[in-house]
Amino acid sequence: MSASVVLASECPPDDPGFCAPSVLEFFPKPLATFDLFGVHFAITRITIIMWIATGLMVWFFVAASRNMQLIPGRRQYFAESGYSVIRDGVAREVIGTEGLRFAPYLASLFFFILINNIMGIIPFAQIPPTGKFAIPVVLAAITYVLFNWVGIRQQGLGPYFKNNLFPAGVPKPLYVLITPIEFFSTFVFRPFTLAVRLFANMLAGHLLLAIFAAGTVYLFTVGNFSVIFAPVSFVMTVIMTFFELLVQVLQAYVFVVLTSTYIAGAMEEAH
Amino acid sequence: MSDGWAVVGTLFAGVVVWGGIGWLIDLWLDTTFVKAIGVLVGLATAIYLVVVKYGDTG
Amino acid sequence: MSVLAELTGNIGTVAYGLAAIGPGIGVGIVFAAYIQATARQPESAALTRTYLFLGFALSEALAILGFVVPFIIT
Repeated sequence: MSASVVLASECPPDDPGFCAPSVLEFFPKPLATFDLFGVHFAITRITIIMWIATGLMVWFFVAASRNMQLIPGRRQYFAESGYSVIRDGVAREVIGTEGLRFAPYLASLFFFILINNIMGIIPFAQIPPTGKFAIPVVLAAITYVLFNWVGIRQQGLGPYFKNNLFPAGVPKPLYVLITPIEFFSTFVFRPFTLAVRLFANMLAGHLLLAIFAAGTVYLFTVGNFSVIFAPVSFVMTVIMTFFELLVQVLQAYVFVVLTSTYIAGAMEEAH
Repeated sequence: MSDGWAVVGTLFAGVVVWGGIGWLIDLWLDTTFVKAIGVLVGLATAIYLVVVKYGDTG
Repeated sequence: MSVLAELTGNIGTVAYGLAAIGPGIGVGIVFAAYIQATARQPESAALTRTYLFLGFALSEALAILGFVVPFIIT
């Protein structure tokens, strides 16, 4: 058991002392590397986990939408319920009837983030690919481009920036102070926090689980009186796994709700 | 729910933007206290902005 | 006099941890008052929302100051 923990946590098998898992967990040895247009690509264990997870999700939805009946079978019922959580519960609720246009994007976003987050607690995978900063950055960038493009197309380039940067009801001289804050808050802070919130939650959760699991193994195998603390560490691993499940689902949901709120804000600014 | 994040974000943005401008002015004029003034000005402006945007029959 | 015990680290993080206690309680009190007032008289919700955000922003400002001051006073 200690061999597989060492394999998974990238720790050199040194006897004295406890090798705590660190951020290097997210940079495992690459299985294959290649260069394309001057960019260095590396296929690691995390890439394979992301492909398998996304493949499972795509397969599930494609298989459920084949041969669709009026009275749904079980697989179609699950897929439809899942899609309706986003389409009715988020898109229609936050954006309104216009929101149904964005429901496919929001649902894909939600299920992609959800399945990749859950890989953090599935055995043999046990690392969430969304804990690598590049993936939340790209998702936040897509959302950023989307809500700006929707806003500009809806209201025109000038009125969109005017409505965002110059809030109503402020005496004229204060605009000098307020406009940089509004610009930063809308165009820099929003996508940045969208990405960092998802990334930091996944990173912290994974490190927490890794430390408790590695600590359990270490306390069992160290051979002195510390072994009485091993059950405590094990119980904490189990508790944190359930807590991590909650956090993973919640973070996927929060990402999608915030995306739809930004889209709603960009579309309704005509007041 | 997203209003809460927007308010905290506006407060942070006020501090960062005007603290940053104060810091750049510090580098330009070789003083040490303009950073603190910038942070306070930014904080006050951000509080005013929050009340204007989210209060007032919001 | 020899050093008997030593604790090293970043005191800015300790300072923020201490600074977050007060505003945390303050924000809780502000929102608790708003929720109670709205529960007693729901029509007043729009009237008191201004004070809700004012109270929240003022309390939160102290926590944000506590986060930023270690970076300024270097």
